[in-house]
Amino acid sequence: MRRGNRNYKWVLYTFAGLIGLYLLLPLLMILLTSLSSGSASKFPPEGLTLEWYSKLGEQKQFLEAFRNSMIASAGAVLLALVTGTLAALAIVNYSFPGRGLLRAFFMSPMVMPKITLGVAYLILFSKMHIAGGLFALILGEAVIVLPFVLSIVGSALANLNPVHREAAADLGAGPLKIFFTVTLPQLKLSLLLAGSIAFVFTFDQVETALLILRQGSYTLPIQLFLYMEKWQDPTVAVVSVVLIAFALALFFAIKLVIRTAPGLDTLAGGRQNKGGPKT
Amino acid sequence: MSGGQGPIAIETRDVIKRYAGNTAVNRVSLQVKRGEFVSLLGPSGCGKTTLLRMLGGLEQPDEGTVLLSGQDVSGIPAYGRNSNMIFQQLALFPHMDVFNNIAYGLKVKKTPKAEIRKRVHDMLELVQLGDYSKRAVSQLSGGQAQRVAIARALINKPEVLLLDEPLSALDMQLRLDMQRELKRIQRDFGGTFIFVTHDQNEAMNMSDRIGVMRGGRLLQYGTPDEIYEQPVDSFVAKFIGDTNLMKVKVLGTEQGNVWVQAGGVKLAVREPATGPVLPDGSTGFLSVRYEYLRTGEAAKDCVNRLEGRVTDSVYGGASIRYTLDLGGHIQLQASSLFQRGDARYVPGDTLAAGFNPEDGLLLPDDPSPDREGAL
Repeated sequence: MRRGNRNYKWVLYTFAGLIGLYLLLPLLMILLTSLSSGSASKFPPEGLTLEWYSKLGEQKQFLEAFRNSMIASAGAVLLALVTGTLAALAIVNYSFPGRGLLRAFFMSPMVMPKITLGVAYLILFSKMHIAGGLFALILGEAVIVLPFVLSIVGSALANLNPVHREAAADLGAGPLKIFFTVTLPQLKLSLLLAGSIAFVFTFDQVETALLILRQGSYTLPIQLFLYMEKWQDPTVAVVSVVLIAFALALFFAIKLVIRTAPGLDTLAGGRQNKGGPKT
Repeated sequence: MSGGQGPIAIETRDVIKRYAGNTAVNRVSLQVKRGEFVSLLGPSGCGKTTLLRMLGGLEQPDEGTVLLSGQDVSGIPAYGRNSNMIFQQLALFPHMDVFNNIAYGLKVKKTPKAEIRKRVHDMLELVQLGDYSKRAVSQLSGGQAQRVAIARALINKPEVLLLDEPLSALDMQLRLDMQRELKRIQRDFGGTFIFVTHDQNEAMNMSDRIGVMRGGRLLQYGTPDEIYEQPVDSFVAKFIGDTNLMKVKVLGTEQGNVWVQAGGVKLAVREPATGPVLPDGSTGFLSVRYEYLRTGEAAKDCVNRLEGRVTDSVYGGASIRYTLDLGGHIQLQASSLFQRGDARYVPGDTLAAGFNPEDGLLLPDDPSPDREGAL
């Protein structure tokens, strides 16, 4: 019986290991390719070198594109966080006719084909004479990530106990003061979560960006795409590895913030423990 | 307590609050004197919490006015009123430590930092939580959280402190401790406290005055003695303390005693000084408190003498409660002090019982027996 159990476990481990390997394989291949000494992206690599990493500094267009991506993503995320939180406040806290419809409307970019949105934005922003620039991309991307903010912040807002707002009002705080001292601090983690998901999502958005942007304001994914059309060297792999490192750094930074954030225990469901051990 | 002139701290005049067709508070007029501890007592759904929330400005009355220190504050939201509330769930801010919770009201008013520190410190002393200022709210025990909530509300020096069943989540012992503690704080602080509860013992223990509510109405408002000794109707009599209620017919008045008939027995009740409660020939309730019904030897000298069969006897340490069947569908409960060696009766025994006219109370029919169901 015991032996049979162990065999079963062994199968599980192998299976899990294989799936893990499958998930990691593309990343490993990218890493190996980026170290390749050949001038073409070939796998397996002929020799190992850090040459392409050192040459990355010369490729000014990637640095430029990275900067554009950062600006566009950060701008879009900030815009979506502000508008999404305001929308969530209205939809969750007030009951007005068409509330459900409004929510569905704000959530719709999630299911809308991005390429369709891109075409629509191209036409709209051309008419507004802002097409081609990062500002147009920020406006467009903000709409696309709005659903993340609305759903995450909205559900956090619905879970807040309204009695805290009443208590604050009773202690003399007006509505604005209540929002900034009671509601917003309790939404901090949801905002962080929604913001990071939205950021990661916009950062490698290609479809809309491809249609809206003009040369000079290209974002990183588009620049990589264009580069690959012309060159086959491992530079693209090098940029990818840098991006992976960037994403990992971001992930651990968020983890760190969440771990040190006060009040997480209450967010995680450990409500006020009435009648604790200390009296 | 601050800036108050005149003896009335807070007052309602004919306030009405309706929710979707139901009248939660029905024309309630209430005056609370400065420095009093007042309880609003009633079963759940009687409108006591709604009344309290209107006093605090968290709800606005549909009709009538609320006066705080003589000033009409109807329509002014909670943040514009100098009254503070302690909520049933306490509502401590989970994202702040004890210090910041207590300091909240002062920070909102942009009080200088040094003064905030001093006043929070004083408050922590008042509620005996001196070293807890840096504690997270989630690390507090039930009793400590209560104290922080009290400190947070009192630091604003409210003219009236409103308490919405804050002790209901505590276990019995802690509850009794906190009752005493609240009274002490009120004494030290000197404020006007209005306390909502459904627990009659709690109300009796703590209050200078009790307002008994039912179905949105304030049935009676008076000192605990008045409410206990002179309940206005059978509901109040039953709700405060334990009492036997017998359906009776009024026969007539004779030498200050009203004679009534219950089943086949004629009983005498002292007529109140205020005049007859019920006209001759009408029906009403006779209320006799469990402990006013004497049993055994003590019943011999009573004006009204009864005899019944013991159907139940519950030993309560200091007292024993007997259930007596008098026949004719009349059952009475008598609670008598018990000391070791006293005679004890068991079910089946025949037991004499009795009470004097001044220990009975004639009450009008319950005015609205089905009102509770409507709410």
